[in-house]
Amino acid sequence: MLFNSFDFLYFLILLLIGYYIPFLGKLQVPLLILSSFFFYSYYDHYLIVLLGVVIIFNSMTSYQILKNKIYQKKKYLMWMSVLFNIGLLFIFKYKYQLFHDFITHESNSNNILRKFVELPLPIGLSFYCFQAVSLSVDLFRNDHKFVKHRSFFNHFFEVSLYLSFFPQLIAGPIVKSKQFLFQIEKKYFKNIQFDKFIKNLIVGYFLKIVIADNLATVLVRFKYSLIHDLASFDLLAMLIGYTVQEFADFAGYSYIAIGLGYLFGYELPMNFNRPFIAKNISEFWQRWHISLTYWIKDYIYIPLGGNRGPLWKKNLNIILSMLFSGLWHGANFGFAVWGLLHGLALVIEKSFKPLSFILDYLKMFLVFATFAFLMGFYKFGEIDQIYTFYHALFFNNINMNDYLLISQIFIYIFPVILYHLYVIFLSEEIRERLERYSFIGYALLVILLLTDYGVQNEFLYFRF
Amino acid sequence: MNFYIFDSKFSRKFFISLVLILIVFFTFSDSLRPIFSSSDWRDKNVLRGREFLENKLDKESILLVGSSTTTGVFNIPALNIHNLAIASGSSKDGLDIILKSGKLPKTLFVEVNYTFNNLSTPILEKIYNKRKQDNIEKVFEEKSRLRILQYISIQLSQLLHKLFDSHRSKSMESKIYNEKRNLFYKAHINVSFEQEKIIKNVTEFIDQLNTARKLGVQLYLFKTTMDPFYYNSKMLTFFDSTLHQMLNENNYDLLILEDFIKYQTKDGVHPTPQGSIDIEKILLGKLR
Repeated sequence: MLFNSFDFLYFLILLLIGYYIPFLGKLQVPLLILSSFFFYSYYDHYLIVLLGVVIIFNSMTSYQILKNKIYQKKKYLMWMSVLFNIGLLFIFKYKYQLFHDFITHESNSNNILRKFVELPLPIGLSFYCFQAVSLSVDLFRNDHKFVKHRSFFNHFFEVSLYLSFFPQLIAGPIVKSKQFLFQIEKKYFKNIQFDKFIKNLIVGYFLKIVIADNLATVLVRFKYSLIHDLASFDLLAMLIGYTVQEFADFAGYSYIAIGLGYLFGYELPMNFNRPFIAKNISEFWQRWHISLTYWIKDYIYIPLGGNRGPLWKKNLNIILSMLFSGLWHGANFGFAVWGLLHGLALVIEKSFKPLSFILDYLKMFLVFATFAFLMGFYKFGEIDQIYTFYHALFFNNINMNDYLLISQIFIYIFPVILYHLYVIFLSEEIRERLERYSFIGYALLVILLLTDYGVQNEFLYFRF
Repeated sequence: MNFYIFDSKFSRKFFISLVLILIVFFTFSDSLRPIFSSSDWRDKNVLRGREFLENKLDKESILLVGSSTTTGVFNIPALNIHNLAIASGSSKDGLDIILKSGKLPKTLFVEVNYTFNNLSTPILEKIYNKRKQDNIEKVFEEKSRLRILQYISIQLSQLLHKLFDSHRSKSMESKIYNEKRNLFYKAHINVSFEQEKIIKNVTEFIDQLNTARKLGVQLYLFKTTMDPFYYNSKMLTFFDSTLHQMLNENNYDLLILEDFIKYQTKDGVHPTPQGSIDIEKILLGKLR
């Protein structure tokens, strides 16, 4: 179910009424779990089976990790869970590459494997699989101060809610178990933090519906087959527009998820923190898809050795972690190179600190320019397409610029620029003063939501 | 009764200002709508078809069918002449609508360019299909809605156009014209083609013309010439010879609009507003 649909609005209203009926208080958790399953399988019913299997398996292994006192056994269970979740994700994500030769063989046409390969990647799979890994590893590391382990029955319900909680089920933020499980308790309507709910929801829907959806329409020609016809300057504008579209789409989803979390009494972690004001690549990744960055740091980078050991080992750990991030996005050449280049950028930055003497504003510009430039790899994927795009970006010397396209991109990215520059150019004192009148700004955003909504599109990160 | 939501200062002020802004917005939205709304050629294609199907047709009416070359012709509602040209399609689409609906005009102007194409099925489906028609109504509501950011971006693009395009030298104008021409040539004209397909499509077109003629419609066929540069295309040469031969075999006269199109086009193919007026004058002259 899409957050930007009327179906979702009806679903939310009904659920909210049921959730806060006082005499049904004990049923809040089962109601949220059932609703999350309904939400998840609204378009594809088979998804319910997949989510169910992941929940049952991880409830059992995590309960055993929690109860068992023998270290080796705990370790064995933890690895079993990690391999199951990452394996499941790997098979679904790379099924085409894994089984392509087999299914193209004529004698194997029309078999079950072919049908499996043709299935689309289940939406949200990587997000809840990552959360499941976090659950097992954190329990193994004894990193849970708040886990209440009474019975398997209770544990099962808590894990089910943790893995299926609908606001963040499909595209994050990736919540760690230690950030979520302790929050499971009876919730009261009077305790809802309405200010945070309203602000997150308005900003989220504005970013998605006004910025990202309109940019998607404006950038409809930003595709391989049409690159030849576009002037370099138009392509540059489109690349910047595409970068902002990715941000608005994904950050929009995260804000909506966080806002909805508040509505049901759960606080989800921030996933985007004005990434385009980062002064170096390292800071950028602490502001962009924060929950994935920290997941990779905790469960990939640190287990690889982190910043311990000789310099080459530290650098290799960074590059491998970023390569993992690239491969997480998808099974194509572009994503792998994109991750690799970000890893290299981080290594160069850490090793030589070439930006240390440059003005802050220039640093911000350089970080944004690097990120936007690399989005060409992310967008076009295949090596020939990537080459054609970058060649056209530099050498399509056509004098005929599409002013409408450039103007539309500028107008739709302008609110995102303001959202970022607001914290740089205004002092804290002025910002505090303005904050008192922020209600007017939010009301105006609602008006723009009513007038300038774009064509309804899926959230881009559903495909990951 | 406590709704809690209004407990905080922010929420109270937010809802009050939202209500006030909404009141202002709805009070003025109708008068602002024509200024801020926008629609594009895809919608206009469907709108033309829908209007034709839904409105009554006078027995004396004159119709024009064609492609994007003639969408700007006869757009004055006062005249009893209707335009059924389909951008990105051809007169085959307009003829299909006329023949299937049974609404036959007295006189029909037929632009023969691009009749090597298939019927524009997706556009026609939108025009015919009842269920999709409902959706199209939504599309038009959608397109005529007030869009503040869209409006600002259009104004900005016009400003950029004035700033950068109005001071261009003649040599630059000609350079840009050549670029536009080259792009159109690459994308639409210099394409690989199958002779059988072109013959089949032109035959379908001739069949449509024959049916209309049998039903008593007076036909005036015309062709707008393109920039000679486009005639390097093998596809276009083959199409022209096929079309001319078939028209001759079926006793159709073809009016070729030669000169103006060379000087009054944006890209060597599509006429400027003045070019469209010139076409109108020539076609109306045929009726006198």
